[in-house]
Amino acid sequence: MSKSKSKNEYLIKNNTYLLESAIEDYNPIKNNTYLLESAIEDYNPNNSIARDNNSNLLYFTDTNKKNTSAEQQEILIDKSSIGSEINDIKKVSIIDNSHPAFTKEIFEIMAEDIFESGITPRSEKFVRSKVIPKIGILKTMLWLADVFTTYIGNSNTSIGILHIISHFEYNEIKPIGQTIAMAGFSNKNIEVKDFAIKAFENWNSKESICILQNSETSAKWLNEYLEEVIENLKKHGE
Amino acid sequence: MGKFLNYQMSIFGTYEHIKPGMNTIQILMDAFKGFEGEIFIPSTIEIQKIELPINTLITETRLKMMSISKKWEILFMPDRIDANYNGSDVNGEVQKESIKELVDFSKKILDLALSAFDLKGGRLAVNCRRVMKKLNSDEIDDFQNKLINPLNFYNDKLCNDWSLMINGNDNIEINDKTESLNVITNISLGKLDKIDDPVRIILVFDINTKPDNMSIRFGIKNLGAFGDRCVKMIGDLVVNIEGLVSL
Repeated sequence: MSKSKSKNEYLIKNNTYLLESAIEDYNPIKNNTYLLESAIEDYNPNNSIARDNNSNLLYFTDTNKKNTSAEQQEILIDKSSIGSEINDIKKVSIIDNSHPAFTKEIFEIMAEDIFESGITPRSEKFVRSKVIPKIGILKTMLWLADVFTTYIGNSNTSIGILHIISHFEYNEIKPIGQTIAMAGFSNKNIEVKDFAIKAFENWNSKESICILQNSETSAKWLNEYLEEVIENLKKHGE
Repeated sequence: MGKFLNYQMSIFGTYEHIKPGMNTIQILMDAFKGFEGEIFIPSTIEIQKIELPINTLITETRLKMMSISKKWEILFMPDRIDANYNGSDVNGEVQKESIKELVDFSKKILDLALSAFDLKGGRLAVNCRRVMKKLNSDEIDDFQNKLINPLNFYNDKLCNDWSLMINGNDNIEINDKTESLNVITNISLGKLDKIDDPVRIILVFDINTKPDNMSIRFGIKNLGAFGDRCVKMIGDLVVNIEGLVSL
């Protein structure tokens, strides 16, 4: 890592900068230890972007002991990948998209929200005006997917998220929004399933027909609604 | 009794194409439909990867299947598929699944995932983290004296942080061929979560086919033999290590 870069720069530009710098300066011919020691020295755990779900740690290699380990997420750059297979280096870490502050706020809003067709709930206004401008549409969807699965037993949250995503354009939230809606089909709560179907109805995409045809519910009225949506998509879907 | 805090069974290969998409998710949902024991739902994660030598940091969305109980998930990474177990329930209580139960369950769900897309892999791995039963300070002193011979310097010091890592090689017969294994054990003294938690002995086991041979040769039929061997080795190691507590 270039020593001419000031600490302030690192703090301002956070760890993305750190990692980009590390890669920029990465030279497989040199000993990795130098790069890794420099990176660890400058690492600020408060700005972690590459961490696991539990520990807040950014993983760099321990070149001696981790070569043999197969544990996920422990190696970002490792010595064993250097050599004739340099082109194959693709080390991976999982990004945390849980955004606890947003989650806390949307829970408070959803507790008093009404989710009905034709009504824009306050939680959707919050997502559009506060969350998306700050983290962008992709990360917003990843965050909503995280909330949806984390609180899968909370029907109100599931319904709220399905209602919110149903008001976005199909391609705007593809494929994460559709993944959330498909997870909604697995919910035992019939209302959640209803809102999952409504989401596909709103998106009006012929791509959804196959998914809906594979879905089934125990309630007669919901099955009739499902059939109706499938027929409409066949006739008018885009 | 000790408990497994987490557990992972992995298969390594090229799985770039298993990513979020309606068809892929539908195939997985069909595969998991009717699976006894847990209901799995699809979800997404974002990953960051370094691609060299083009020196680029890339983020991409990957697929996971997660059990509604949140105990299990299958992550579809570009180069590996992991069946992960989280031992803590919603209240933070650590469950008491045995290594056999964990291996058997992970094998079943990996079977489903691999079969759904007719996938194979070039490397197999099992790793897990276990906390030993609570020991008092005399037991911990005795345990660490049996395992590590502290330098003279530490003889009269209170050692509250140490670890011992061993990697021994072993072989296993898979598909009538001898496969080399790394069998890694890490024993350490540390705290589980909070700074004021009492110190505990933590065991980490990591058994994997050596990365020297990544040719695609492992299918679902091979998870059983590998998993059974891991159960035996981890079981023996646990008995061996935990048997050192003799006070």
